[in-house]
Amino acid sequence: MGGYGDVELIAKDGTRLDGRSVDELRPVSIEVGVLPAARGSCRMTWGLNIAEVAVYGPMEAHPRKIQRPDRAVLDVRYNMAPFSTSDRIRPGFNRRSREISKVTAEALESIVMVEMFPRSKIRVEIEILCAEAGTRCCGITAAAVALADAGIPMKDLLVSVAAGKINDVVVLDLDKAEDNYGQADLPVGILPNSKEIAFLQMDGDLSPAEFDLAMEYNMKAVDEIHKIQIEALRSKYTGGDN
Amino acid sequence: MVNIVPRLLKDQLTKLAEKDLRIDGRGQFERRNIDLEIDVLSNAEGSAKVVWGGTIVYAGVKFALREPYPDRPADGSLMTSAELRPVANVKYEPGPPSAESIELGRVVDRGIRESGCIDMESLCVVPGESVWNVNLDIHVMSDKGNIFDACALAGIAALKTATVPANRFDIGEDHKLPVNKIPIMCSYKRVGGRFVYDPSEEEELGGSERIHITLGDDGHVHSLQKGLKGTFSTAEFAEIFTNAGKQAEELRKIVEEMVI
Amino acid sequence: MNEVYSGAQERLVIPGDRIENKGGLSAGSGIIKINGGFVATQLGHLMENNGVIYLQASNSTYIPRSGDLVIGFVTSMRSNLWMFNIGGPFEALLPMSLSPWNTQFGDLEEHMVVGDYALLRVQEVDSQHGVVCTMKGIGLRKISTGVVEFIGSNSTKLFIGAEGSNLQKIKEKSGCRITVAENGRIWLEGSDEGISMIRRISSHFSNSNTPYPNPDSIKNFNNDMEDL
Repeated sequence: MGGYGDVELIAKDGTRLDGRSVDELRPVSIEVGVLPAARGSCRMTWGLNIAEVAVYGPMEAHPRKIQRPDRAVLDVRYNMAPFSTSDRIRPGFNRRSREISKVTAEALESIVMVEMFPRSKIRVEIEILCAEAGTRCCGITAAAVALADAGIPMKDLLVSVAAGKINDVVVLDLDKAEDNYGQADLPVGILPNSKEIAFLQMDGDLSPAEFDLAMEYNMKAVDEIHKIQIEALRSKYTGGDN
Repeated sequence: MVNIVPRLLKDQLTKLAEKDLRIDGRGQFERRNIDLEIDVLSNAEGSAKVVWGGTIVYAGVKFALREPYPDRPADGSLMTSAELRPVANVKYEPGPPSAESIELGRVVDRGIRESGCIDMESLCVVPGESVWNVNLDIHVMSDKGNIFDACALAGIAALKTATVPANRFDIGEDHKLPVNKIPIMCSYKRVGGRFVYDPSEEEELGGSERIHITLGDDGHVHSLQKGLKGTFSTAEFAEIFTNAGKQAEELRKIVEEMVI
Repeated sequence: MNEVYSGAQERLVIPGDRIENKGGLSAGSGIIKINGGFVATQLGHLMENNGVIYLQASNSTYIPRSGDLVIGFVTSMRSNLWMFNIGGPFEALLPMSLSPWNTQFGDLEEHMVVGDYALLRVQEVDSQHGVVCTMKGIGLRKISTGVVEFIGSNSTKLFIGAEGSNLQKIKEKSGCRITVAENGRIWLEGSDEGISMIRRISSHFSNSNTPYPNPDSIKNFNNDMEDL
């Protein structure tokens, strides 16, 4: 959240710079089974974002000290490729990626039935190949699909999406410019069937009324993205004619 | 993760080799199918995706301005790195870059650098003050064998498509990065006693030493690397060196057709 | 999500799909109860049998059960046991006492070493997923000839076919001995031509993008079976 409203991002009639309306998502597409070496995988494009996710396991958790006697460990890594942003990212330790990996793992733990695989480990590798705001949402949403593709038992899928505020107007799914000059960003992760919230972050400035509206936009978008997740998983299995 | 080689696999590879067969039905010097796509990453100034059998690699080019080194005031630079992240295969564990990952990056780097495909003086902006550093990053997404060749191919294809973002740095017009050669790497692996080209994942597991050869446009060799345990004869090397010349020509055509 | 589940007709479900329970059915594998309703937990086909609704997962990791015939390879050894990779999330152990040999403590490498394959039976799986195997039993032995291929535990049913029809046909045409283990590995013995024929057929499962039978792999497999 950078410039706080001094850049015109939205016209009087509610049209945004890229032509979207206030509650409209960028184009989203999902394809499963894209990485032959992985047990389950998924490629998601969301606007200009590209995320590819590989799932490995469940397998023996090594070293032994990370094993949990009652459940599987979800070992999640969110990583941005060096060429994914306009300024190159140096490979290696990165506080932002560490935090996103942690909250992503915790969000996915709400859906994965980890208790079925005590002592084992499930690896989720999220690689962001191109980043244009909203990569954590893209990564979480794609990870849920890759886990389903890998046949990992889950009680629901997970959809992550963000609403925010630009020029004092609440809008859905901020793009790069809106993220840079916007006033707030509210990413959430929702279980699409039960509508429970498994992931929540926010930064910026929102009134209680604005928060409610942002959540309303998010909830509506969850259903839209959930349909795309289902379609991607189904078409893999039905050869695209379902 | 420790890679255990099932003994049956080794026996089987040896048996097949005696009849001049390979485990996936290919001939000794037959390669898998290659798909090359360019300009696939909108935030990179040049990019390529290589799907080589089941191996998938992305390469992206980024530019930055820097002060030249005092002894070479008019020379820019090229930094090539290849990351072997745990996404690529169950056998790669998280943690700092492994020796394997570093070897991959350095071998790919040498082949491209030593071919002289980029004239470092062409990267000079103001002599003694400012030059371009070209970062070529290669990202392996799926390892089903022979990542070396796939990385080298993606790398040179990404460089060939790269645009120098001079406009964004307020130092003039964007222009194509001049890349005037196409170095090609060809990798061979000893499997069941003899060398094969373009080893698959199973052949890498059950084979022994590997040899990487990078050839320039004129057939000159620009980098060599022998990896893993094992020895080979000069006659064996002569055979694969001759074969590498043919393979490189075919691969160079794939790049030329894609990048005009 | 409240699609009506229509008896015998199987349908594809996604994790989280609600499944209507019309007639006092009980939940089988892959189905959980949430707030009294049934929910699918994996991508796969919904099936019904004897009043149980269950899910045939399209891609699931091999979970060992006692009595399973499995093919494993030795990953490490201690002085009185071998550890085996059997393809599932947990390694299995074979104690010296359940091997077919009269082994002395510390002399295990005389019989099997790291990298050797064996045909085993799962003896016991404890609540912590500790897996104990045995090599005492008819046909159980060290595998020192032939080839082991992977087709995936989800593909074995298809590979075998109705009442063993596919397997019988493959055996006849290839002239090979074939042992299909429950963990998705198959052991082939016979001529090189026979083995490469079987490998071509099984590659529809092992070399597809995913280790489970997708529509393309099933179609190609069935075509090959007709062409045999």
